[in-house]
Amino acid sequence: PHSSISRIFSLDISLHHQFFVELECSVHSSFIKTLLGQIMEAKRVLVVLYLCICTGNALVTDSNFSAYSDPNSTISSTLLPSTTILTTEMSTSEMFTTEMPISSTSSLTTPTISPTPFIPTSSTLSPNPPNPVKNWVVVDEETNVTCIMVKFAASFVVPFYTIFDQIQNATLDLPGNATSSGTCNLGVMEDSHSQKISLQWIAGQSDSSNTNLPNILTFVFHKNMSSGIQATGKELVYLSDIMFEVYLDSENFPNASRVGNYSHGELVNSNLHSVAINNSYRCNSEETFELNVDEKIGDLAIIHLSHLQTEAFRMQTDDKFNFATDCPADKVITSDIVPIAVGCALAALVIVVLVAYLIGRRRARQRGYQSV
Amino acid sequence: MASQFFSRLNMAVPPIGASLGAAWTSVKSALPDSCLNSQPDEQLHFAKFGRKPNDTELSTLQSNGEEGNFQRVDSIGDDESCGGGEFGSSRHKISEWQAGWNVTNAIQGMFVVSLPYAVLHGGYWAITAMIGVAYICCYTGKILVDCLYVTNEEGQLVRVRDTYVSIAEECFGRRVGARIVNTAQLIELLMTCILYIVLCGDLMAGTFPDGAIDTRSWMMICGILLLPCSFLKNLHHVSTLSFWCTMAHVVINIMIMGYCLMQAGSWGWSQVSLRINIFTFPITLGIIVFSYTSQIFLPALEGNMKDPSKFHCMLNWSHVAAAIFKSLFGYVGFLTWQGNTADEITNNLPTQGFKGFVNFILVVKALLSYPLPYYAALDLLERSFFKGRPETTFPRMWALDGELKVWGLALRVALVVFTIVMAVSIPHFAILMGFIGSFTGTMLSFIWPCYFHLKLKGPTLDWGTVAYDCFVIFLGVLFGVIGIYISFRALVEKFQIGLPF
Repeated sequence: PHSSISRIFSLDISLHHQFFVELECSVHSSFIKTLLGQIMEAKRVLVVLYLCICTGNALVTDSNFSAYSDPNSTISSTLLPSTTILTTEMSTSEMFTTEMPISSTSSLTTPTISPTPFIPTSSTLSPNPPNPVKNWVVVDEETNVTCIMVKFAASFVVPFYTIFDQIQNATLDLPGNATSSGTCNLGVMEDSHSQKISLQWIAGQSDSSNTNLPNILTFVFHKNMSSGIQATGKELVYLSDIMFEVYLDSENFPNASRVGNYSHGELVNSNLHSVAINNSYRCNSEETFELNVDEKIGDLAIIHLSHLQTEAFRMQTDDKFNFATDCPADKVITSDIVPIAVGCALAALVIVVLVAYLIGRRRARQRGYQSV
Repeated sequence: MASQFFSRLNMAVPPIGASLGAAWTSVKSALPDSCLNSQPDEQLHFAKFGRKPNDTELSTLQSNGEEGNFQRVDSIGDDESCGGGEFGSSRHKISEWQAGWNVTNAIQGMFVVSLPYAVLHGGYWAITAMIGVAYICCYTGKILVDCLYVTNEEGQLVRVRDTYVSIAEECFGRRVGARIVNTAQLIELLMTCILYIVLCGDLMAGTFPDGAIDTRSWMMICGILLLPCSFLKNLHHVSTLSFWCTMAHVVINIMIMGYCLMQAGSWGWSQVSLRINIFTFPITLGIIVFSYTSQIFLPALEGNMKDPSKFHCMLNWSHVAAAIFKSLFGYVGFLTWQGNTADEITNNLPTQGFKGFVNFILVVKALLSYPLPYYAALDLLERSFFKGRPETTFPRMWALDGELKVWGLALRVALVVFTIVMAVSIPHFAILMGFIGSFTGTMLSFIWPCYFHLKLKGPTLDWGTVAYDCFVIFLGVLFGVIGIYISFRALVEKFQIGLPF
């Protein structure tokens, strides 16, 4: 048995920096050092979210926050011990400020806490039906344009190594309470050909004892200019990448050898669901995609998508799907009844017109008026 | 007091009036001739023999005619159309306004909604192209109709040929040339008809994306609405429908431009590019060039006008109006949405309701545009095959009382059904039409009129005109090659993705 504690804090930095956080746990005296990762300089102020996990049979007694701008100089501070509260729920109330000595060599500013949109705040507990179909959108803040709309039900089959060196498969469902985020890249010229939507959820029961980390499913859409045509030149929008990050929790991944870590799967550089721009892609029948897993298992992870309708690179602020292009698998199902019925109506009308004209002419001739 | 005041005012007014009058006359001299100020002796000047409204063989003999000779040079053996003209009997001649509506129907086509997209890729060059191509097509239309006439010994112009095909017979030879031009014309006309049905289906399906009716069913429903076209008898009816088509076009223009003007605060004046992107400009050129092709209809329209002397000014004004409307629409549409301009401006409209309404009016416009090419195709077929033995293989479609025979009606309805079936079954029709139309369209609109003009009138032309004709032929070849190349690539790409059904 173990307890896990999560702590969230964020800080503002102004330039490219790499930094990491150290947390020291009491009993096992082990600490986990996690590299935060590359911070991309997009704007002057960056908000960095960092999650730190420490597992062990004890509380975190001490934690060291260290940040450095180059490997040689390190600025460290001590987190206030009064905040070492055993928490099992991640919420924004956990945010705290740290005191940081301001050094003249670094341009790190005093970190301030800001709530991030990334962690889902647990709202009312609602049962998560497996495989519900739900709508998710990405809205660009500046222009209020809903640039991506997706609706689907998804389930995953993720292979993992157990501690007994066997490969097992875990089945996960995408629950209805997942939240969405993403990028529209509307104003960015270089990236204007790709848009991304990410759905996050936390596996397991959403009650107070859930300390799992979020699972993330990401779809990346690309747009390309179809090369020169006359009047009906249309750009094509297609799904180019499907990626997921699944947290190997103990409930869904029993006896996983890498429990507590993430498993990444991806299917990149594809050309799926290609549709003309301002049209949506609809596929009610189930589709299956295979994703490469980073664990080098040899087995592939599988994602099942059904009742899907997606639209990216939208320019509208409303939330109704545009004209849908159906997938080939659906064509068998969507009936040809309507075209056949209309065709029969057309044929019947043609016959009626001819017969009526024929009768009209016969009657006119019978009345015997003079023809010139 | 008052009278003194007014007299002083009267002295001040004439200078203003004189300067205004001078300005007005200079403006008028720059504009094409107004069609309203032709005098009756204009008809004498053109010497359209046998073409006055109540002219028949007998009345020519009896009247103390202006000229003494009775030679009828009109030689098409059509016992109904005394006086020439392709479209049926001479009793139903059309006015120049009706001819104008028909030409406007032909040149202000359905692709008006793609014009801002053209300006997006072409910038000021696209706008220049819109005006320049209008001018060139107006010129080729005039020289084509000019080829119908021959100056006789007295120096008067006499109409010796009636149709495009008859000009081709003279220049290319009776067997090969006429067949080629006939086929090209028929293909172009039928493809235009099919395109209108395809566009109707696409627009309706776009307006009701979640409905139970799919694109093919919408095409067939629109086709049902077009069945009454098989009852069209003369150019009057077609002209009336073209008039309403132009009205629908004006409504669309007003609605979209009104919306754009309301957004005038956010126009991006500096966004119109001055440079040409060599990869995207050909697309826009295709959109612009192939919308001005009306030359197929011109010989027939001119032949059916009550007063053919007004043909030139009618053509001028319709092309000027088209150029102004198109360039203004494209420019204003682009200024409103700048970089976000969609390839069809209706996709940029803010609400689904507005877009649906504009789509609906576009569908109405397409339905009203259909009769003109349909009627022209019908007439072409009738003229080639249904004029009675021994000239053509089939008997005449018309009964003696002027009504259609039943099998004639059946054939007309079959033509409508044929266009519907083609619309429903051919995938990616618009690009296919771009591919084939790049060839037939440039031939019919640029290359052949100039070539016929040079061949028939060559000796009488000055060097400037000859050079200009050669230049237009060169332009036609250029547009055709570019259009074929682009359409071919687009076709290949579309078919690689897969057929839609």
